[in-house]
Amino acid sequence: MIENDPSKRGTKGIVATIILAVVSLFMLLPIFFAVINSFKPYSEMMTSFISFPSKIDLSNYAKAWKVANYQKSFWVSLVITAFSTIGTIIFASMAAYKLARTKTKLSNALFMIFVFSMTIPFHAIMIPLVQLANRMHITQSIQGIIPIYWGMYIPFAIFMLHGFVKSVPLELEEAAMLEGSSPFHTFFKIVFPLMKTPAATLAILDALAIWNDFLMPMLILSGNPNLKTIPMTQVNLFGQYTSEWNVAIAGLVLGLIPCLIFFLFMQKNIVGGLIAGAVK
Amino acid sequence: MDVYTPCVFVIYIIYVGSFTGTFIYSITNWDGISVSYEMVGLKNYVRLFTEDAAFRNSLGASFMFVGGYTILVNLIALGLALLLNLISKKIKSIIRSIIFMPNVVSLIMVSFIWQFMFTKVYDELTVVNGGLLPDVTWFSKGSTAMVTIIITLLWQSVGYFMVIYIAGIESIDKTYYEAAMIDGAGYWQRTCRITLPLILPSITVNIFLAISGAFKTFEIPYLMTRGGPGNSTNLIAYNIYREAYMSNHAGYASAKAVILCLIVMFIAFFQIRAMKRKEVEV
Repeated sequence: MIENDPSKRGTKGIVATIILAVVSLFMLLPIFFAVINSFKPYSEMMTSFISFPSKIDLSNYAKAWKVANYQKSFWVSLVITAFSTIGTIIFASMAAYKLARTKTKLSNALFMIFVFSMTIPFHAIMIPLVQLANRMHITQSIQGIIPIYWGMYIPFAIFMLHGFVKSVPLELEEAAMLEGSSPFHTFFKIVFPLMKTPAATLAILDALAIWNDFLMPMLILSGNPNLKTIPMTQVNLFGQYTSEWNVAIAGLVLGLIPCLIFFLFMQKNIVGGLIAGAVK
Repeated sequence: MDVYTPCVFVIYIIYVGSFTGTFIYSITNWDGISVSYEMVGLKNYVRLFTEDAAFRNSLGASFMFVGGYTILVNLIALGLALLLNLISKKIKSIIRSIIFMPNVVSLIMVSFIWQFMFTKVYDELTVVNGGLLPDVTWFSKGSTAMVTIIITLLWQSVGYFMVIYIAGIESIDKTYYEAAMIDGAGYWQRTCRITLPLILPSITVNIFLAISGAFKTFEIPYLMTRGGPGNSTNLIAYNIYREAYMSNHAGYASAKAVILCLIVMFIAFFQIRAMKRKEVEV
């Protein structure tokens, strides 16, 4: 980019840096205030919300950790996220492969159904979906919410992987078929390893979305006190500590930490995947 | 039995089944709990548009939210992307990460953080700052409450739109700029005549993403404003939830859900058309 040439930058570069620094500060401000207040005892917080804490006091964190039972909800969230993501990727890649390779009217129609379901907002199917889950007796259980997540995330995954499969050469599969390999064997031994990169990107995006989701666990899991995901615990914690913001905020920071660590390590994949998903 | 069977099975149950269900429930008076219900024909739809002033308010609030948010998020994201293009690579990647970061945080946490900011921190800042910041009680009036939910969603999502614009700008062929420089075009001329026309596809994508994302916003009104004061922030996605699970009018809520679905699909239809036209041009 020519604007990035150092010799051409001059005053415009300085002005841009200043504006961007102010914007970055604004982006960090809410997290900054959350962190400083999470260290204050109640009385200190009530005298000022914007001063630095007089000392680093971790008792809010201890309280939030215990009251919200974070350890448990961390595992609940992790199990739901992991199995939902893995299932989505496996089923979607199988279907995307077959749909891309079969050129019949049926295959085309099925692909259109998948693409069409991407445009339906969740709120438009929410009521019958919950009713269906009730009738099948799969509410209030981890085994129940996981297949529902498969259904929710498969359409987009098929759409992305379908495009990728079309770019993979046919020769390898044809050779395998000639040797008498079954469709499942061909898929898992030959095609799936080739799909690793787009599948990993999708897995990261889906995992993030499922980890952060609140409405679905609230609709499907609520009623079972043992099954609370992290967003559900946080809503409960804030309900319990409406005035004691210091404890609630400490609980919030605890929930922020895994997200931010994930972001630091996966930044390139997240940003790259979102761009690929949006532009397609 | 083929490799796509499990997938088709899951989709059939989750999507096709539920989607038909919404239409069927929307012509009943089902309360969401009892076993029996009656068919009432199009009565729910008639009521939506003739009697239900609250729903019209909610629809109006949604359109205001979607419109305001879509314009602001695109202007700010585009501005940031253009500014980032002016600075050195090292600072660029740091600032990009900072602005993008809230995007990985759940809307639950974002809503709580901003509720804290607007009620506690802002109040104290106005006292300390005296005059610099206007003295506003954010959640007491409809218009200011609308501003808070727009700012909250903006803070969370502006980085996402920004990285799409950055990708668009970075994909432009540098020779266009070199040729323009030789012809003596200044920075503004190059931006308006080269950059903006060539990132038109990114602009289209971002506008549609913003619209459909904003229509589906649920967590922010649910946690920050409860749709109030009045119905001023009763966004449609939240309104459907409330009708179905708090007022126990599942049938009536389904009719609202059908309306939301039609709006979002209508937008998607235009998006596909807009994208197709662009493909032909390129």
